[in-house]
Amino acid sequence: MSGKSFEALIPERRYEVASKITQRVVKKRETRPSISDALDQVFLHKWLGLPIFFAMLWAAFRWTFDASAPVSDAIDAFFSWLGEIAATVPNEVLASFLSDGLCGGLGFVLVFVGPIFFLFFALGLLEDSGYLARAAFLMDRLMHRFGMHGRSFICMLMGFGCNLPAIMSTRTIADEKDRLTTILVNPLMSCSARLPVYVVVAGAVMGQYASAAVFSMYVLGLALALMMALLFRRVLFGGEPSPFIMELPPYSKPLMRNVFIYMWERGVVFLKKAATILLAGALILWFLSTFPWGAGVENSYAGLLGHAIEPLLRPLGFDWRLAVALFFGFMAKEVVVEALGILYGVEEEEAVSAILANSITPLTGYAFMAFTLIYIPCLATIGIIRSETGSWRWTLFSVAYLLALAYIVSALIVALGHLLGFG
Amino acid sequence: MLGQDSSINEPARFSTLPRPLSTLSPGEEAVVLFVDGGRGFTKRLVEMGFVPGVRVRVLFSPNPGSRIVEVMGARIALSVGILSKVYVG
Amino acid sequence: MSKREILVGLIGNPNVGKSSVFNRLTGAKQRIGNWPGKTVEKKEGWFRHRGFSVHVVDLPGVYSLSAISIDEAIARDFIVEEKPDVVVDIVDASNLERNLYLVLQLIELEANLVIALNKIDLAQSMGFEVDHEALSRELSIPVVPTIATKGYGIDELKDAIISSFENPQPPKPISYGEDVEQAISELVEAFRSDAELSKYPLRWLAIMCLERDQTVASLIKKSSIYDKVKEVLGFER
Repeated sequence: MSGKSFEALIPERRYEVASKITQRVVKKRETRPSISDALDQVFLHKWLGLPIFFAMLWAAFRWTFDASAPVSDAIDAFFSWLGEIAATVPNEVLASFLSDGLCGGLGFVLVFVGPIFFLFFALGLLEDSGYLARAAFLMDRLMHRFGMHGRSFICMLMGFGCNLPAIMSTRTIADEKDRLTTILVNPLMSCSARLPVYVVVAGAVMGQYASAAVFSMYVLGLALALMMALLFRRVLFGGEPSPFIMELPPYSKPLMRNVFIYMWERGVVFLKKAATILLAGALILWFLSTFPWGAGVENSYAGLLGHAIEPLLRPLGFDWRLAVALFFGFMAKEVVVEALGILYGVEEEEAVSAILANSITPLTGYAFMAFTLIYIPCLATIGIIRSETGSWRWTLFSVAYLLALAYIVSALIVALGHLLGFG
Repeated sequence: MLGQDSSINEPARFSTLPRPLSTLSPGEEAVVLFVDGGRGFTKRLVEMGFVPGVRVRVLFSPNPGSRIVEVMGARIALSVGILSKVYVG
Repeated sequence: MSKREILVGLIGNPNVGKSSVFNRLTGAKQRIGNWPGKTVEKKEGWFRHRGFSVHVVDLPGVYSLSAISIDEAIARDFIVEEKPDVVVDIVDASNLERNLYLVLQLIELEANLVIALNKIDLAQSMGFEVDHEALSRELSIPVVPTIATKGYGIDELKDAIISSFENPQPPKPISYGEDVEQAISELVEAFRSDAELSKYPLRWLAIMCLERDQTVASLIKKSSIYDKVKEVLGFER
């Protein structure tokens, strides 16, 4: 015996065999430095590396959310148009089902198609060219501190646009715990759908501090996401995030064939979800807000639910209308504004603002914004958390922890506000 | 007698004393002597090519906490913490 | 009529161009999902060739089959439990030595192997010439040179998959040196008497046992020959 344990010996012997075989079958001519060397000197450069990374990220972000906007608008317009046609059906209930339920629901869900396909096209390019591995490496030190992996960074950032493609993009994270952590905190990244709510509420009650209040929501979301990531890592998963060790693939020109397949396969996963679980959820919400037929929103099942949960939200200063609005926001967060319009019986956003200004205090408004930011991921996001974690347990956990966190944070805001003499 | 022999001969196997790979500066090259990373991690490193007898080269260091290393024809990015578990000579 | 459906596991180190090979083999006929109960992506695809319907499962890119990471456990479990008809290992020609490690582990597992020697163009541009016929002789495994990004060698790979399915050739074990081999054969002897363990490739089980693989260790602890195994491993300490 050489004194070494078999545990250490066997891997060495495998390499010995591998090395002998290699010597027999590989003829080496001269070795030339590869192009990857030169590119890495630039892309991983001490000073240039990060600015180049952020420029790429910015381009990918704009591409995902701006370049795809016409697609989303077209889909939205198409379903509105279809909805208007459906509304002319003679039977009132059927018309409402087809127009508000089916077309409205499909519209809400399918507007995500644009950003998702565009995002995965961009990610496919970055992945196939070999750059994504470098990007992960660049961000690893920062993310490691918060219990996540270098690859989590891009996913988190995508969350500012829309949590849905962001959570789907966590597929690039190899380690299961790292990925689960990133998925769980992603809804805290304030997506673009929440912005209209902030704008209307802050505009109504915060006066000259409106834009600061809106901006603070993004900071709050990010801070909470990092905090929760650290907490989950410590309490739920234990241990450190997987230490960074990764092979950097040689750079290569991305193959369009691969990029398109990459985009298509992932996009289809979403389309399938949209056609099933997401549509079903939208129809349930339509049902709750429309029945009993002709009762009006306040006496619909959703309205009754609003009254039922009002006592729970009373300590935060929310009345039944805000409760119902939050309930509707579950479908898609921008619906909160629309719902408030219906509840107050007005159409324009300015009118909603005007009524809000008279009916809630700045403190309640701010707490309501924070609650909207945190409370539960929208229906589509919940659906995607379910399919990406493959577990109802984690999905329910994310809903539950976000609800609890929303309540705690809003309550803290209210308490602190009172202490400081606001409200 | 035998024990004496081996204790004298042991250091002679190394051209220099074993030192962690993290102490190499960019451009330097060395031979892996052993990996000391605790159960699972030693294996992980060995399987990525950090096997005794293999030449490694530190290509460059994009920031103080990490290195790009070439081993067995592949470039591997890793943190200095991991590198300090690989001993070279 | 013999079985016309072939289950193929596609495996390889990270960055060997595995997804390009997968895309070339299956075209647009793909489905992605998750491995059951895992947050790891599972890709499957299908193609028809010479009257056979071939179902390709893309296994995670791994350096080894030690089951330390989830990816490795998934790849290993698939090969051990699902017993695919053919395992295609994508090997990076520009980096043969490192890639052979996984090949050797697949040989230990007695998988019905076909090697796709990919990126031969890159290897050439880097100044390497890999003799694929010599490699095939060394390992007694069919080796198909490919350049997946250009579609070169894909039809030949499909042919090789079919002929390996029709004439499975259990790979020849490769010696890891006298001391290791002696321990392996003692363990194999011990395992042979246990019906439960005989379901697995015994040589692989023995090697894993010597490597103190957690999964295999717990398998053996439950078996009837645990004491015998402890005896064999005992001389090591």
